[in-house]
Amino acid sequence: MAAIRKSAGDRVFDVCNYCLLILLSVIFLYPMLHVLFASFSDPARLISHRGILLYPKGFTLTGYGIVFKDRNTLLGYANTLFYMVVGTGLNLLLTSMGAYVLSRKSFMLKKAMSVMLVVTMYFSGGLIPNFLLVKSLGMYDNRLALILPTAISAYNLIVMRTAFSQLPDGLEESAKIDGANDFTILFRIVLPVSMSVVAVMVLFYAVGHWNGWFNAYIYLRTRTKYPLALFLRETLIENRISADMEFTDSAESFFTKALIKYCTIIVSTVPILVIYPFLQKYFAKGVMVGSLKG
Amino acid sequence: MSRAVTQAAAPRRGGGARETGTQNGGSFFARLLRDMRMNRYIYLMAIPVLAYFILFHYIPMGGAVIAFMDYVPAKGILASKWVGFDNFISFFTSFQFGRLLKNTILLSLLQLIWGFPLPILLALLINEVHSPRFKKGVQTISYMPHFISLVVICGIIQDFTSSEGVITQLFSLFGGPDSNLLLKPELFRTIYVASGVWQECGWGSIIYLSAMSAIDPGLYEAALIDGANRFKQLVHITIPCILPTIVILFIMRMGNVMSLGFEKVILLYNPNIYETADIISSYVYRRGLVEFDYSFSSAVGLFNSVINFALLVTVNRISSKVSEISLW
Amino acid sequence: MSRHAAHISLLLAAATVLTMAAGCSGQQKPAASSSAAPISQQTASAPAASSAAEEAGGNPITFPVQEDITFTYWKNISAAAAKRMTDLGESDTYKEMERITGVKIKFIHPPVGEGSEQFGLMIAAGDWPDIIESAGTYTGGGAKAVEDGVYLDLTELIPQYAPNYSALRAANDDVRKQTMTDDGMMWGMFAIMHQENPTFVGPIVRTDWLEQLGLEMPVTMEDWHTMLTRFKNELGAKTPYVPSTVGNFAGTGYDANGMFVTAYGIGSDFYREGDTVKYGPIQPGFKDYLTEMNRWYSEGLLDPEFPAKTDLDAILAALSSGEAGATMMDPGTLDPVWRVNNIPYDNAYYPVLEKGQQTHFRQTDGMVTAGWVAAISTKNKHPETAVAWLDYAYGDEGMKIFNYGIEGKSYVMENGKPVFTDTMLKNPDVPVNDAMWMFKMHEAPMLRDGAYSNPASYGMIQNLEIKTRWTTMDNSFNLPILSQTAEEGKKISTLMSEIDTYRNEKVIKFIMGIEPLDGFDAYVDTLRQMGIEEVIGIKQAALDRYNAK
Repeated sequence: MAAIRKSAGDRVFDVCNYCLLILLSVIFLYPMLHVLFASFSDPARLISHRGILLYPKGFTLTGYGIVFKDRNTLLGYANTLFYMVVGTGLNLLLTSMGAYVLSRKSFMLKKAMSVMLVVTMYFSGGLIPNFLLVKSLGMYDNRLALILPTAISAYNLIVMRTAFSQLPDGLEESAKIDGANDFTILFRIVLPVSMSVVAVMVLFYAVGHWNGWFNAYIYLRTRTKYPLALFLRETLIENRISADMEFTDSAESFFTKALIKYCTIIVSTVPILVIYPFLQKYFAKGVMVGSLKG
Repeated sequence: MSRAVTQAAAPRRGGGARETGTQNGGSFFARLLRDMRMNRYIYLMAIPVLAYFILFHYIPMGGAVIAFMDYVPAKGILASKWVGFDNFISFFTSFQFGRLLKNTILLSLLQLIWGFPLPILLALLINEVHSPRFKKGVQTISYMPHFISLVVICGIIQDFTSSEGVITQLFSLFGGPDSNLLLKPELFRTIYVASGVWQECGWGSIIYLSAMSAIDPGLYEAALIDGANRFKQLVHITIPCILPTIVILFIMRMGNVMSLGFEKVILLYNPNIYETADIISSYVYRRGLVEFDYSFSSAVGLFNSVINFALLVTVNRISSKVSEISLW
Repeated sequence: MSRHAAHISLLLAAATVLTMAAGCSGQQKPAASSSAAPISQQTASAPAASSAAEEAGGNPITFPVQEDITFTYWKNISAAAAKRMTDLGESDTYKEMERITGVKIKFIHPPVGEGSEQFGLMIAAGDWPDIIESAGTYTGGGAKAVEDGVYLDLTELIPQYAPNYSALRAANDDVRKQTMTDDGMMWGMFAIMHQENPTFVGPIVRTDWLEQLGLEMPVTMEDWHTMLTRFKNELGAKTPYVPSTVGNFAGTGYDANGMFVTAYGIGSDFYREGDTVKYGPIQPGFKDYLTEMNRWYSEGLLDPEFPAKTDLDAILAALSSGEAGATMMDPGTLDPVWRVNNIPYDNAYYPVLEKGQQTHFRQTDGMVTAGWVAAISTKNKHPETAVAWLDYAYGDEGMKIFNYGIEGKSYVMENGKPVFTDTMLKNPDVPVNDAMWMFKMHEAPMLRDGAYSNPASYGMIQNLEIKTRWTTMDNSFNLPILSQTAEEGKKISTLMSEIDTYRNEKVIKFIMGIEPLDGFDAYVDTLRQMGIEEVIGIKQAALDRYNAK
């Protein structure tokens, strides 16, 4: 944007806006800092601490040592990376195709297909029928069970369709005249000018695969195929000791359990946090205009 | 549900005819064939998408019939006994049904009222930031809470709202109670909704930021030349340009009024605040703890879906009349 | 090492004497109380049972088997074990079992979790594993699973192929009754103990505070009131009494396992008085209990935030920081906060109203462990071998492999008793929590040694002593494991899920004084309208059938 002299009102607004956003950032940052500080804290002191955690209570790397020595951590990373890369790739391919189809005004079944899609967002057969389907397709305890059943999110497809249908009509008409078919239009013209929505889709799908544990919990049996999120969940649940079970912890392992909980969260969250700054450059303005001119 | 399926499969009187143009004439199938010839690549693209939805959504959807059965996993769906509406009656006649319904709807609507506009507001604020580095920083930080597990988030909430907690102390300065806030039935909804906004606001703003970045900068340049100040630009350019996204997301949100998960509620509530905190899903969860009953939870799920879908259809109809933006 | 051995054998002797004393002092017939075990079989490695089995003719199936047999085995895996092993087949116990029996086991573990979804899905999937543990999870119970054609009826197979298990059943009438349905059908093999596992949750008080104030260990409710008041006023304890996680026992408010409620001559939930089933929260005594708790609450003796404290960490924080000096929990849980900080503590007993009275209800871990039960599925091609294989864990050799591991590695024999080695207790690479799954198998259908073979409590002799002392309290009000028909079970779960909700809500409001206790009669009426009498009726019928077995 051209730098034009700012009015006094603009400057007041800017100052207020920056202050507000800084304040909000502090509030938003707190939970992550809390977990981060807790993960370095001396667990005995951590347990007796209450209130805001502003710095680690003591300092120890024991928790991280245990988490990285745990073979499940690396295994989980590798599996999650696989599910995320392959899954997101398939997600993008199918979702963009579906979104393109539904954004075509001339497509006769557009409305029927839209309704069909929306219905699936609100009605489902439930746990058992889905499980039986996956089993009868031979995907039980198979890695595909984490990829195919979630190949398209109707929600994301609609978001992408909304973005596509806001593109100017002229964009593809000129291509049609040049004799390009719909596949070429989608992959060569529509997607490149819709990078901001593609970036959002990558983010939504990738984070979904990264955080997703439920399908793995239901469809996988072999522990070596588990994604990181399922290992994390097991760690979190383990910490909720119920009163009707005999206590089988020694003092030392009771303490380290609390520590491991926080370390596991950090270890399993930080890699996905860094994905956003990479995608964010696609949010820059002007991509579309440039392509229209060219 | 069957109504919706028929509607999807045979949209004869629907918009299909209107969109292909009435001048085409001929029977539905003749028009369809013509459309297929003209748009064969479109149909080719649609096939895998349709196949996915039929295979992974519509086929298992048939399994929802267990809501009308006494489903025994070992026997399978075919051999289980039909019980008609027994499971629904058991749900509707449960002692606290009225309270559960009221709590679910109230909590959900409150969450919608606060949780829906605030991400838009945040996105607008972030969009007004000029420094790219600051912008990137704020955005990245704002969505971090989304990644922290609910178990930990709820632990932090419990800590902060205990009698010595930060939030309790802060509010008691302004005349609030200085005892545990999670023991006050009248505060539960506030705590639930506020913490939800805290956790999801930044994440929710991403999609609007993306929509804003797709706005043609030429529009702003033109507005500047016309002398529009930033507030005017916001009202006349930014908001109208992201309006389709807002409306679509709002319609989809309305269809989720009945679907509130149990996890956060059961991590936060206690018997003293059941009167405001107990919702349908936490009730089903408690009931399932005693004995896992697929038919019952399926009946509750179906009930929720029907209400959700009815709301969705209504809102969508209103929207397509008022703004011409529609889900289908 | 020998120090441990000495302690353990002393303890066992003490347990024997104390259990005998309890059996004599109880008002019920010894047979009716699950604490009254045959004393001759008290010790871990009692040879009586296994030699009896051998005399009974031995097993027609001999190990190692000549055929090539592999069983699939559905078994929950603990989080600690899952961190160390891909499946439990890597544990010493199951490796040794394979070596001895020649039977190969392919484990199927559901992810560590809390729900029964996994079990339901496994059943829905149809191709059931050969052996299914946690078999009681089946909706409607094990008998329903036999009726549905999922589990095999083992009534004929067990006497033939499980001589060790049969001998254990024959040796105790309660074990016999609790391991079969009311019709005498056996659908699974349960973990069994020679005697009741020591009570592991009970009242504990800081003894340094008692000494400081010149108080004796409290006996009556009034003693408790005095003690807690003085803790608060003289020692600055903010919340003098804090029990273990509250979430699980909201039913009695602030009262894990009915510690205070029993003083009023009732049990905390469903209980038996003689042969009559009763429900504690509708008894007149329950109103007296609520009145007293309300008084304590208003005097600040209980944590004002107790309904919201569901987190064990917060509770331990109160104990470690000196805000609380008395609790109700597993002494093992106190280790991280009191023992490591050298805060001395000792057990109290469930309080009574007047000195000389005794309570009749306490936390009980009976001789039969309902949760650890293995069934054989109808898909199993060698059910006889499977029963014999499971039976091995009930014999003298087998039970040691499960409870103690491999002799010379995880334990050695001293004076005829198994004693854990440092490999188990002080392994620099393997903490005890992990070791109890790698070097032994802490949970399984087996002849269980319970607390005596728990390496985590092993190092802390005082805790085991405390548990043993609690076990001397009478528990004639505790109900045995009752079997219900599928319809009864469904009825109970439907009614109780609502009754529990309502009761929990009201009890907490009564204690906190949000609702006046004048409302107690209306509360009882509402519970009646909600069908509590029907549930009591079902439980009564089940108890009658149990007694008639």
